[in-house]
Amino acid sequence: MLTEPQIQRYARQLLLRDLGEKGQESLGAVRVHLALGGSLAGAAAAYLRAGGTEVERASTSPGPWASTPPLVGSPPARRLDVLAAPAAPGRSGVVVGAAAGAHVLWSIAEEGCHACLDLARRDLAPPEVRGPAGIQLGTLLAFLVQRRALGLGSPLEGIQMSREGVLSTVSAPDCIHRPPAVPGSVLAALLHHLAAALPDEGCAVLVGREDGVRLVPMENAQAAHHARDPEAFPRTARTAFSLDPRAWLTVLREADQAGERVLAIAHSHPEGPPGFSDEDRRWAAPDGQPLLPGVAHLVVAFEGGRPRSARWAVWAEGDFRESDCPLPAEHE
Amino acid sequence: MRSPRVTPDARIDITAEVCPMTFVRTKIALERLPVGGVLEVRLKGDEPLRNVPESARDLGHTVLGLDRLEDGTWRLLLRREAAGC
Amino acid sequence: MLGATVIIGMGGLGCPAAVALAEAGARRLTLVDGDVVETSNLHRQPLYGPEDVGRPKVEVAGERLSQAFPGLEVETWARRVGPPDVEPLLARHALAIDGTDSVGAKFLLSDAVARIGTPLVSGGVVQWGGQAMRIDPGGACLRCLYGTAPREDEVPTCARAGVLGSLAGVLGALQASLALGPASPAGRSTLHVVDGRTLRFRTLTVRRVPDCPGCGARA
Repeated sequence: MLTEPQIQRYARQLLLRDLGEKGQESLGAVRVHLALGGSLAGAAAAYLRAGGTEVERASTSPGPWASTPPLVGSPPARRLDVLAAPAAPGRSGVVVGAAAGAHVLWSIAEEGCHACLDLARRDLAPPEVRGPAGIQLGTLLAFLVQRRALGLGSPLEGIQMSREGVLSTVSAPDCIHRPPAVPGSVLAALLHHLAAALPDEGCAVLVGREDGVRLVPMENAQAAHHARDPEAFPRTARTAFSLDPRAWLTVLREADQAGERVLAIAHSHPEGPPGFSDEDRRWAAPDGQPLLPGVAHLVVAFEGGRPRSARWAVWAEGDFRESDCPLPAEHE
Repeated sequence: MRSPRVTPDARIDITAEVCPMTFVRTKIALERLPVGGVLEVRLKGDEPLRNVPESARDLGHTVLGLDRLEDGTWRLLLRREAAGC
Repeated sequence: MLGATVIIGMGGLGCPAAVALAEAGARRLTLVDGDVVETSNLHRQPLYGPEDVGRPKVEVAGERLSQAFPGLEVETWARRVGPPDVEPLLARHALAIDGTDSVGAKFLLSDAVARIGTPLVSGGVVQWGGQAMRIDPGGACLRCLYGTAPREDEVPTCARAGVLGSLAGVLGALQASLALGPASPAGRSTLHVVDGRTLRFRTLTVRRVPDCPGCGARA
């Protein structure tokens, strides 16, 4: 609960829709570590402190600002880092950089993808702030930090400021370093399709965009390969899967036409083992590089005819990263 | 608007406040209630009478009633809705 | 180089605009505001601290700016701008920045641009959004954009609506950038719109309305 002095100080801010007492407490629950200098840092610190957030700065000269210490309830528990490119915040924070005469600010939440941030800030040089640009960037910075502290906005968001001071949003491309978010109904349909293929391995493709994922059931072409040429294809469909090249090309073409992309390839292990096997790994990255960059892999392990577990494998920074895929409730 | 017979979960008196503190107090009191909770606000004067009920509605809360009391002040009853603050 | 600039209203918009202009190397600034510092200002007007409460805003701002920028000459007017003040004030300056928070004052200033010939950077911030527009003589004015002035209570004032300090800072700094930038092309003005909730920034071209009551030949 806010104290009386806090209510008096932050009254006009407390009036904001979506920022009430809890919002003000969130602003005070964060300590910002500002590893920047000059008028940019002075303005950012002044606005953050004025709004109720503690700021730690290397330099102590406030410039023209009053730099009033904020009224904060208890010592802040969360940390937010503000840095100049090419550095990056460890967990959550904002990085400011320069590119082709413009300045860019990227803000990342704790749950944001740092691999995506690395791609976004790859070509940024340290900011070159002259004259009034420092005040524009400093106030923008304070605004982005406050959004983070309040839990508003997307996990990775950016603003660009041109040399003339014109502002525009910069969007991070769709994240390919994490498994896609698949709705329960799509997952259920996938499990149904894989179960129907038993005792063989089943397979399918997931296509879509951030806002809509679609299941494309596929046929396991391994059976046909093995029947045609058992020497070249010693394994049967019981223990291996493959996609027919023409069917695969059709999926790609249709996805492209619909403005979608292939998000994942899913297949089953009819009698365990759970997770991404060595075989799976060799298939997905034959020469140590992913065959299908940007495509996640989902492996569903069955036992006694029922799905037991599902694991994602996503390529990020040189290796496959595995994570659990919770099964829809009725399958547990 | 005659108020329904309802016992408020919380009461505040903003007769001594001026804008914007009139609505700041009301907003905070509403936010502290659970959804469905009822707040009684005692207020006085033209400005709060015009602004407080309308601002509460703006945020999505419900005005249950507004009564004029004998001493010239007003009693406003508000229900906290899920819409948020 | 920027000539003598007047900042009318030293609140949430005026403070960052003044500092930004000072950082840009402005030599002469006039600060106008009739208010004293209040506690509820501090969250969005970081030129003022708790120790300044009760003092005239322009005095405090003038002191801080003069100290931080030795080459800067600051003139202060501790009063609210009324209709008789507008013309002489604008006539004495090369450019004006609107940091006021009343609809009436904004239109008063906008109407004077064509008559006096001093460019004005108008601006406003409310809740999670804000706008800024540079009005040059010969360019589009606020009446070209809005038609008639909205009634005072049609637009939520700070008192009810609430303001985020950093967003006011963004708008004030943007106003300063527009002041330092080029004049608008004849017959047009650019409206900059900031949506702080969706993080979207838009620019819209406003065309001058023929015979506009604000800036037209008969104004």
